[in-house]
Amino acid sequence: MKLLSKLTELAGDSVRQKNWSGIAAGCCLVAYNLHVTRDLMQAYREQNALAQAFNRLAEKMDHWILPALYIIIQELRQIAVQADAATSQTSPEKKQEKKLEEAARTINRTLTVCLNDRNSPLETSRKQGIYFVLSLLFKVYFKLGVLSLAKSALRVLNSSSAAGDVPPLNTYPKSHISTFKYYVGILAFVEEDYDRAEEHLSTALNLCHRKSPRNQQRILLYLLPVHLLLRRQFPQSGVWALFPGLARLYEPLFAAARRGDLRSYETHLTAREATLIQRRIYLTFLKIRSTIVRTRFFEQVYRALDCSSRMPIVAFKNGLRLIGIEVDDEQVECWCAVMIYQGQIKGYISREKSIVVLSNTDPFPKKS
Amino acid sequence: MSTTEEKKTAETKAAETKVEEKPAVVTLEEDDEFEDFPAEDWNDAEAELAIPGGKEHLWEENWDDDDADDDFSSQLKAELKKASN
Repeated sequence: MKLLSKLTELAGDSVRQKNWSGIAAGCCLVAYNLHVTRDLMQAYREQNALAQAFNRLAEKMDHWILPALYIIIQELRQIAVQADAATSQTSPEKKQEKKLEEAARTINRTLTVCLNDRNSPLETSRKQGIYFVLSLLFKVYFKLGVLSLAKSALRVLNSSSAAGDVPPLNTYPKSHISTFKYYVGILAFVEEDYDRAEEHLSTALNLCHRKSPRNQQRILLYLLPVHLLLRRQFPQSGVWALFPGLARLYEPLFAAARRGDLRSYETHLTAREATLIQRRIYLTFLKIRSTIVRTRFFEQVYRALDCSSRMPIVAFKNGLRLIGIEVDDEQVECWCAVMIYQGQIKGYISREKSIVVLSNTDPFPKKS
Repeated sequence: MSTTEEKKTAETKAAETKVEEKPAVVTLEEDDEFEDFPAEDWNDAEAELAIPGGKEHLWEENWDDDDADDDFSSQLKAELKKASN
C-alpha cells in the first residue's frame, strides 16, 4: 500500500512537472486497477490522468513520441468504452456523463498537440500523427453518435491544411489514410455529398490492406450504393462471393434495380428498412429508387413497346399495374417530369396528347 | 491475389492466415467501427481486394441493355403487347 501511495504521488507530480517517473507510475496504477483491484472506473481515471500528463509532455517532443502517444490514447478509448459498458449494466437508470465523452476531450487535446508543432521540421514533426489521432477521435464520436463533433474536428484540420501547415496526404502511412478516408467518406455520405463520398471511400478502399476484409466490407457498404446512384454501375459478381453478408443485404436490391423491377425492389427495401436506417443508408436507397430503378422500369416499358419515341402515359401506367403498382396518370407524369428534369430521360411531356415524346438518340442516357 | 502468395504467408504466420484464408466467413458487422490494420504501412501490392482481376475490376463493365432479356422484361413485354391489342 505504501508503494501504491508513492505511485499516486509520482503520477500526480507528472502533471505539474512533466517528468517521466510520473508517467511510469501512472502506467503502473492503471495496470494495478485493471488487473489487481479490477476497478474499471478507477483504471479509467488513472488512464485519463496519464493521457493528460502525456499530452503535456508530448508538447516538448518531436515525432519520436508518437508511437507511445498512440498507445496511450487507444487504451484510453478502450478502457472508457469498457467502463461505460460496466456502468450501464450496474446502474442503467443513472444519467451521467459518459467516460467516453470525457476521453474524447483528452484525445481532442492530443490532436491539438499534434497540429501545433511549430518547432520541428516536417520530417520530424508531431504533425505526422494528425491522421492517426483524428481517426481515433472519429471512432469515438461515431460511437457516441455525435457526427457534428466529428465534422468540427475535420474543419480544424481543413483550416490547418489550407494554411499549408499539414504535410501532403501521400506522406502518411496507408493505415492512417485508409481509416481517415473511411470516416470522412461516411461524413460526406450522411450529408448527401455523394461525389465527395465516392472519392473518399474509393481512396479508403484502394489503400485498404488485403488482410482486412472486414474493413473492405465496411467501405463497400457505403461505396456500392453511392456508385450505383452516381454512375449506374454494379459491382462484379466476385464482390458478392467475397462478402456474403454484403450480398445478403444488397444483392436482391441491386438485381431488382438492374431489371427495373420496382415491385421487387420495394419488397426487398421494406425487408431491410431497419438495418438500412440504422446504418444511415436508407435515404440513399430511396434516391436510387427514384433515379435508377424507376428510370430503368420506364426504359423496360419503352423497349417492350418496340422503342417507340412517342410513349403514351397510359402505357407506363399499365406497366406499373402489371407489377402491382396502382397509380394515376398524374403520378406517372410527375415521375416522368422528375426524371426528365434530372437528365435520366431525354424528351418532353405533351400534356394535350398525354404522351412522352422521347429523344430519337439515346433517350435513357447512361452516365459513366 | 494468388493462392501461392497466401501459402507463403501461411508459412510465416500460420495462425494468422488460417482465419483469413476463408474470407467467406465475413458477416455484416454490428457497427461501422473500422478495425485496426495488421500493420501501419504496406506496399501497393498489399492493398488489394480478393476478387477476380483485383480492385481495378471492382465494377462490371458497362452492361448493355440488350442483355436485359431476363424473365422480368420478357414477361412485361408479353403482358404489354396483350394489353395494347
